[in-house]
Amino acid sequence: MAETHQASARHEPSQKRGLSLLRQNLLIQSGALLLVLIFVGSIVVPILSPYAATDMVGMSLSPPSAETPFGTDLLGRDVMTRTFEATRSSMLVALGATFLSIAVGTIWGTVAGFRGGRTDAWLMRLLDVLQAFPPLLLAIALVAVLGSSTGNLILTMGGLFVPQFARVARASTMSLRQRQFVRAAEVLGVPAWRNVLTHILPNISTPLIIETTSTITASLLTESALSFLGMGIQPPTPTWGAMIAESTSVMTNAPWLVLAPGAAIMLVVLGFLLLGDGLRDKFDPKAK
Amino acid sequence: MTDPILQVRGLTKHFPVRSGRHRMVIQAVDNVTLDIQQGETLGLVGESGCGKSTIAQLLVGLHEATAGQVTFNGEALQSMPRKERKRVRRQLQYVFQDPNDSLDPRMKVRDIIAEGLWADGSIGRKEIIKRVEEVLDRVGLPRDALGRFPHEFSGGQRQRIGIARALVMRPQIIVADEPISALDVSVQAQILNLLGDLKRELGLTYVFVAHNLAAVAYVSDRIAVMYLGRIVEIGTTREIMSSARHPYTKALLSAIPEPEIGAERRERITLSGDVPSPVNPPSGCRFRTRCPIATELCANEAPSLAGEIESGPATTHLVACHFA
Repeated sequence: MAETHQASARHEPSQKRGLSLLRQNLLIQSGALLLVLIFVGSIVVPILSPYAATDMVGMSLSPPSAETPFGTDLLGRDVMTRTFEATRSSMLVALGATFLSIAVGTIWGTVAGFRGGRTDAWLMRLLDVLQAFPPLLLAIALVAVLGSSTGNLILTMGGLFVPQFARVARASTMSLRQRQFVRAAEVLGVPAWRNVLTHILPNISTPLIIETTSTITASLLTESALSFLGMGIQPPTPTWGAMIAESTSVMTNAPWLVLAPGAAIMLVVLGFLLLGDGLRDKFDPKAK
Repeated sequence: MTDPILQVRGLTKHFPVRSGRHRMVIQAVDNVTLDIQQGETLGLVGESGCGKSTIAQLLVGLHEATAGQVTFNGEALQSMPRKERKRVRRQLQYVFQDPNDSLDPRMKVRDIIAEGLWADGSIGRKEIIKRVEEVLDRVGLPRDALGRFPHEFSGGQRQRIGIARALVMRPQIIVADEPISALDVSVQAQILNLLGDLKRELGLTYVFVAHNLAAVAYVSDRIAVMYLGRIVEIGTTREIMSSARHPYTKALLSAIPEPEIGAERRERITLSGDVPSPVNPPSGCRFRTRCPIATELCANEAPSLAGEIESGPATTHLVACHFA
């Protein structure tokens, strides 16, 4: 009797653990699947499609049909081809900006966290100044000054997201700084830069990866907002935000014009959020 | 007597702290003077917060001293150029308290042990591999440990890895900061014996920091007892264990449990009160607030043992007490 009781008590936690693992995998898998489908589509659909994104293929504002599954836009271009093609330009900017901010933010944050003291105070105050501006307004102002090329967009938005990464990197670095293995390297005469590369970076990668997924979604939305306002990648290259902006005036007559790019934004953001949530659960089970 | 390998003169470490608007200073280590002889083990004991770990960290350069001088083999460390100091400091290695925290969980044992050799930059790849394997044998770990990660080992084995990491630098002095207090009692003795063997084979000098007087007595040739940032008594292990003179040391000794059944009970000396804050230590003798024999003299004048070391000790047993 006592034995069976013990056995069941031992069994319970593993079952719970199994469930949460399944949940994590479900999140990660569904997120990854969604993203893979969209990315494959963004490559395959423009190739298979009989039309180019800038071709005028028929009547203006024709509803969805066998030839044009998502209908056509104001200029008679195929909405499906344009939606999938837009994935490339939108994602290029979103991913480019995210990776730029990871690189700069991580270096910024680890230097601040590792050095501490005055260096830390100055570096973080600079970021405070940056964060004091409303992000979208700052982006609009910068793009207006620099011009809205793809490179400038990446640069502007990349700068915008530096503080997030710098803060995450700094906090993790500061706690690692107190760990004995980091101090041990100091005693061994390991130079600071090498200490950061071998001990700090590998051990702060997890929170940074999690931060990455949420930053990709944020920069995707920012890019769409900029495009919507006409500050993003310029026509005729299709982007989701610009497609929505073009069609707001005819939204009641031709809702597919807004629905297609709108759904695309939603699905990509959802994909990254699911992936991010799953990764967070997997690496950091305490933060829920 | 030969020149000591390590001379500590007036070593002081004050940590500035801020609480609200007030700036205060924690006097972690205050005017500590010590000599450490080649080949001896010096035990440093005291309760938590007495500054023993701070001294250990000052010796290996984990903190900068506020004042005072550390001289290694006749060379003053503080007045050296930075590069030179770094090179000399490799001769002083450190064994950390908690082997779970002192080994990078993402590094293989091979890389952990070899880290300091790579950092040195002047040692070739082959030589590094040779020295890592050699040191692995010395600390009693199997060869296949090299490709594994720290979490695959038990606490005692992890501490062996930590010792190997220090040893591979071929140091003259090893500073061990509570090297056994994070381990299971059953493996504590193994690590102590390993340290003893290594010392005999390699002619090492140890500074052994611990709060456990019995363990310190087991490994040390001499013992320094600390209280609130100062050394109150120093002497050979025999002198401290059998004829302690400082009231604080006596109280510590009376707390060691007597394992023998029917042995004559020592009288237990219980100190009243708490250790005063190192931010605002008592005037004069720092122990006076808890001392059973303190008088007005103790409040006005700090007893010292530093002067006696400087003038060349006539005796090895020194006490910082007006009445001892």
